[in-house]
Amino acid sequence: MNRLPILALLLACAPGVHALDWGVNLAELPVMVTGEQSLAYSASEVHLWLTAPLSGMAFRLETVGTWAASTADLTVANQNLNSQITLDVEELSLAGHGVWNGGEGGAFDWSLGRRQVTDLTGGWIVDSRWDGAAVTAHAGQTKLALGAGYSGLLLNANSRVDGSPADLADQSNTSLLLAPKRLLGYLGVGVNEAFFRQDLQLELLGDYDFRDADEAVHGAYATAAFSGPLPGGLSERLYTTGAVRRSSTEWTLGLLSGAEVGVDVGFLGFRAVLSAVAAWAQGTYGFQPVSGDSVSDVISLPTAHAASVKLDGSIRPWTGFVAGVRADSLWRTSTDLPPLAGILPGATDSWLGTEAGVYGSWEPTSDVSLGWSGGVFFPQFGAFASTTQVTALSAISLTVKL
Amino acid sequence: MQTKRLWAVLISLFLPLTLAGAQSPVVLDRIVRAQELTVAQAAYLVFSASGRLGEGTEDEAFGQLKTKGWDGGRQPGAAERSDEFAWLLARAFPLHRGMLGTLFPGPRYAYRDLVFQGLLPAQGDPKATLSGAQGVGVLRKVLAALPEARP
Repeated sequence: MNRLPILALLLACAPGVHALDWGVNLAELPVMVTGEQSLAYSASEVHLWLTAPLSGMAFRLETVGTWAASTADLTVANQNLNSQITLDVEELSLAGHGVWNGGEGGAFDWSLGRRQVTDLTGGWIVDSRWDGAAVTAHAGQTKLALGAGYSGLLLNANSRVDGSPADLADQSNTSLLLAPKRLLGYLGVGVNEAFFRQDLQLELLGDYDFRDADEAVHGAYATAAFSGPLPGGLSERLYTTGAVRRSSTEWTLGLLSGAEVGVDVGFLGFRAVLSAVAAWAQGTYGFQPVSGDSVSDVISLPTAHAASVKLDGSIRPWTGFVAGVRADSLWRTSTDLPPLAGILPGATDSWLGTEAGVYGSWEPTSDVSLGWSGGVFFPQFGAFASTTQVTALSAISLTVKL
Repeated sequence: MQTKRLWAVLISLFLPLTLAGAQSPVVLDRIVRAQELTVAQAAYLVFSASGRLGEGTEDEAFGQLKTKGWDGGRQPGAAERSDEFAWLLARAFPLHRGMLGTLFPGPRYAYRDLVFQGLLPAQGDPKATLSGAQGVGVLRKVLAALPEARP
């Protein structure tokens, strides 16, 4: 028997329920990549969401059904077409807010269930959904955050957990239903406007791998971050993370650091951001996040031994519209080979190449949104073979909210 | 205290008053004090601000609502829900509608359109009732967003 109508009925009957709100979002996401590795990919998604305020708390459920098809052969129609249908629970959460001494002593927010977790660096260490609980307490200028989550109930097909070589191997194993089993915990403290109007935040994050001892890789990360306004309409963000990873055979140390300076100009909502991030680590696999991002937009370059310097400029001339251009210089921080097609095994050049691209989004009405992103990666022939092709990526997303 | 409240209301409604007919300060004060905005009070706010009511009362506003068939079978003293208030505003003023709001007009999409335009809070509950002060606040934002209010 389908449990969803029963859940909705229970929520509707529960005391304190004001209302149920629901909706269906339809999304179409075609992506095309050409170059050393070609790919045509298209995903059609149906999101069903439901929210219900429950006696001062907020309940939210979002399920997603995806039909995705891809092919690496762009010259012959429907050849080697891989398709996959997935049904997933994107979010299932209960959240609330409380105060001490009528709000004078402080306040706290809590959440329970499946939700997105992003670490203090903005996603270089953790950027994934987890099943767990989190509490954030505020008192005056200080903030304390505590949370724990588990990844083993996420769907493997949609998982971004890649904290070890075994996790990465699981990601491409379509016979696995559930994601790698990891327990994540974090403790964070923050002081708003600690000095010179700069916010200071510290975070300790640990992950425990439930694999057998010979495959398990556990990790701990300590991050410090500063952010705040600068004179002249500028703003800045600095962060650095020290990492310790432990496998059955070795301990490895790693470091990831990043900086960002932004400026907002009133004219057409123009914003420019200059940012840089770099990672170093001992061992072959380099800096390993729990579920991190690529430092590049067109090619997939993990943080392992990578660095990037990016300049981004965007305009927001009216509400619901943003368009931008970006240029990105990609580097490596060791002589280990990044997993990129065409790279020269004996090359010592640190500079890998340059990316340039455009992006934007437009929400003309409350129910339609359009997003676009396109870019080109130009390999640097000191690091890549001279026959390496330029890689181009274009992606569009169209969403209709019913 | 009452005088202060009255001035607060008059200031918050300064823009509407420039666009529409006069509103009774006594009625407005009563509405702002209301814990829950009623259907008749919502009709009064919207019809007077859109120049359809003139010097009328809440009862006359509800009568007009009924005449137009916009009452939805509700009683004048019933609490006005956020989505119903959004739907009333969408019919009374030339607000921008989305694709679904145009194809399937009603409270559901009127509420979403107002949230999208920043006229209602994004984290609100469409079925929640509004206080009188909240109703006045939403109406003020709607009037400020109309083309004739832009410089």
